[in-house]
Amino acid sequence: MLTIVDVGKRFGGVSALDKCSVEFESGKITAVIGPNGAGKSTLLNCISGALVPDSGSIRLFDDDVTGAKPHILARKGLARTFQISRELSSLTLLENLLLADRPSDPMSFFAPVFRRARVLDEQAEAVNRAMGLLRRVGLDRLADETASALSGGQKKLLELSRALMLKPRVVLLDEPAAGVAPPMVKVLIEVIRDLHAEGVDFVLVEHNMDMVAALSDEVVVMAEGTPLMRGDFKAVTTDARVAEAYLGGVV
Amino acid sequence: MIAYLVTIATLVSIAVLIAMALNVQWGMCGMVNFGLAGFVALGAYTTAILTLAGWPALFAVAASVVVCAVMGGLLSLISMRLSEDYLAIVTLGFGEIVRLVTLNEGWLTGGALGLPGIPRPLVETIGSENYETAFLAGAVLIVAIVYFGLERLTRSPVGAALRAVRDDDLVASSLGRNVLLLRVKAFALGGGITAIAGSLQAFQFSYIDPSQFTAIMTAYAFMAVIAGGRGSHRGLILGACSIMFLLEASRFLKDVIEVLDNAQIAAIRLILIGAGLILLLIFRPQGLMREYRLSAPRATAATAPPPTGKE
Ligand SMILES: Nc1ncnc2c1ncn2[C@@H]1O[C@H](COP(=O)(O)OP(=O)(O)O)[C@@H](O)[C@H]1O
Ligand SMILES: [Mg+2]
Repeated sequence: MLTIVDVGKRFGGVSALDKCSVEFESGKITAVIGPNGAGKSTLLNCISGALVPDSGSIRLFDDDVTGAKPHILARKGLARTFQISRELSSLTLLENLLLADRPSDPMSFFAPVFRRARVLDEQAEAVNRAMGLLRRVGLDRLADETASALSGGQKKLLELSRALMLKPRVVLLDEPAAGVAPPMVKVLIEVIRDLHAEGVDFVLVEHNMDMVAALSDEVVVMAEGTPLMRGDFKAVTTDARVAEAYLGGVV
Repeated sequence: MIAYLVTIATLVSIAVLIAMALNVQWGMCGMVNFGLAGFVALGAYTTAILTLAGWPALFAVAASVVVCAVMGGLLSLISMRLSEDYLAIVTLGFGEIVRLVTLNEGWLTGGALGLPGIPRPLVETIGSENYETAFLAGAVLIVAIVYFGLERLTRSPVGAALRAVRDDDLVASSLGRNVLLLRVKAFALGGGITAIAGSLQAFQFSYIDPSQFTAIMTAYAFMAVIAGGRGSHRGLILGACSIMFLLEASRFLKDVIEVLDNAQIAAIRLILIGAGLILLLIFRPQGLMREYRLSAPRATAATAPPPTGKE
């Protein structure tokens, strides 16, 4: 589904990704773990088009998408959330979600003025879908609030539901549980599991090991910009090299 | 007195159009335009030159709209390709280029003397007695049409997308919106609106010269948008009217306080505007009105009666 080959990304003197090759298979939830600074977020940013890799190639569903713009990737069915929430702060929750909808004329300045009825009909449909998604994460009562009014945890939930509004085939989640209250983490796990059952695949970057244990079919451990090992949760968490990488990362 | 009020109201209509252009570009989409007066000048000169060459007013205005829209699209495209923060510099530079061209290319623009004798549309049909009033009616009609068009745009998903680009372009892009295209379109739309404003100005006095398009024109537009509440078209109308009211009301200070001379009055007028804006920003930092936001119950009832327009 997603094939990353020899991707490199440097920030000045820092090598965030170094000949990073990893394959994310369809039909699976793949967790990516690793110490802070391992390059997990940078990897997601390169895949989603937020950053252009310095070298290497990325394939999504057999298309070469290296360096493609985020909106092109979104249309191919790739959605993402951000480690540090990026809510559209002056938009309401509902508007945040509607932005991910794809009406028949999404860029036209003329349709809203001259074909208003159709635009409003499509919008009403999208609103129903958006309210359903908000309900799923318990944010529907806040639909009319601006996103700036949400707590940190709620913003994470908003980002997830917004990503789902794209009707994605694969979602990249960057620490979705960070800052979310434990009961809400349970809800998150449920929502992700349900969606996976409906055919959506996930790449899950997460430090919350309960969540990783509950969801992942496979775990990739990253350290210093490249995968160190992969396996199931148990194999990975009992591996000596992984423990060492984490200890090394702490220092 | 009536004639004076008609003139003022026509000038307000033009100022409102300019502020609307800025509101699309900067208020909604977050793209600053410091060359706004340059766009108005480009629109005014295009219309003036074409009508003087014998074009019918309607065609001249249409051509002028196209010229300014294309110029807006090009400028935003160029600066986006460089880097996003360059837009401020590029538009400032554009404004300066327009000023220099209008001043120095006398064969085309009449230089500092300007272009006199611009034929006013339908002047034979309407007759000269009521012309100013009819012109005002026309100007107000145009403002109304632009206003309702922009409101529809603002209340549509594209309107929300423009605001999303303003808030966080990476997010808008990650959600499938072509940010570059949205920016170019918004800037082109704003450019087209400035052309209408410039054309009205050319017909209003049937004379234009470079001194009509100075930086203060741009400044008033920013003030109207900020005072009105960024993103709110209704707010900027209120903002533009308030500014014109302060400007014109202070004109009569001279009759009340006789010790002041004209230069002092002029200075006081600007101080009044500045003080008004500062007070407003202290007591109502979000501006007079809030921009449109879609709310859930109303949106689900799309088949029900049309929106009440409550903001
Ligand atoms: N925009 C950036 N500018 C400079 N350095 C960065 C930037 N993003 C990430 N880095 C650096 O790249 C490395 C990997 O970061 P990141 O991908 O965020 O790691 P992780 O998500 O695994 O914690 C770190 O050393 C970080 O400091
Ligand atoms: Mg990270």
